[in-house]
Amino acid sequence: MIRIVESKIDREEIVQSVATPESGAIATFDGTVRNHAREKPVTHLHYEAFPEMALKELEKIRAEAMQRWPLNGMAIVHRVGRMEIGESSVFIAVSSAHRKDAFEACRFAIDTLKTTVPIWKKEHYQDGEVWIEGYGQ
Amino acid sequence: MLKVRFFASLKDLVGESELEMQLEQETSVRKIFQQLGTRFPEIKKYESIMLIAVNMEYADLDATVTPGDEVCFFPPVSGGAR
Repeated sequence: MIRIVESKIDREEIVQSVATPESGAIATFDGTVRNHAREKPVTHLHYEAFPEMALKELEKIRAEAMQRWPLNGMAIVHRVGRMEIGESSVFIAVSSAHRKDAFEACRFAIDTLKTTVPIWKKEHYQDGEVWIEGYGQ
Repeated sequence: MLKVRFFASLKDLVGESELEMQLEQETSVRKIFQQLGTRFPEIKKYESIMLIAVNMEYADLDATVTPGDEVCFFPPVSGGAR
């Protein structure tokens, strides 16, 4: 399951999509909206995607991960639009026979996503908003 | 013709998400960006940090574009502290 969605992320559905009888581990990463950034309170976030290309890049991540680790499944779902504090913006689930591979592949997926998948975040504050672009800004 | 699309802060600077440019023959992304820079001077500051995609594959300023291609300019993706 590789998806860009506008509605609330259904974590359970994503986990179920990678579950197989051969799997002894399902590792997940849940990226949630934090209530502060740059020492300022954040009221909500807005994510924008270049959807067609984002899907292609997400597929590439899954293909590379499936090749590098002995996985049974990998699902990545990213939400776009407005999100409130605590809501999931991205959810990844990875299944494998043993936990080490699932953990490593899950970490690889989120770290790679953050640098290659064309999705941008805008932070909204009480007194304005700003696009967050690239590392260290 | 060439289709040009912008995303996130670049879209805000340009004021629209896509536009079409006349293109009769092969050229480089750099030339396209220079032309856009005369129309939208604000985008020039993104030259060294922006990402480029030609037909949905990452490319650079030296990449070739031909009529019918789609070129996208956008800021580095969201990143986030690890």
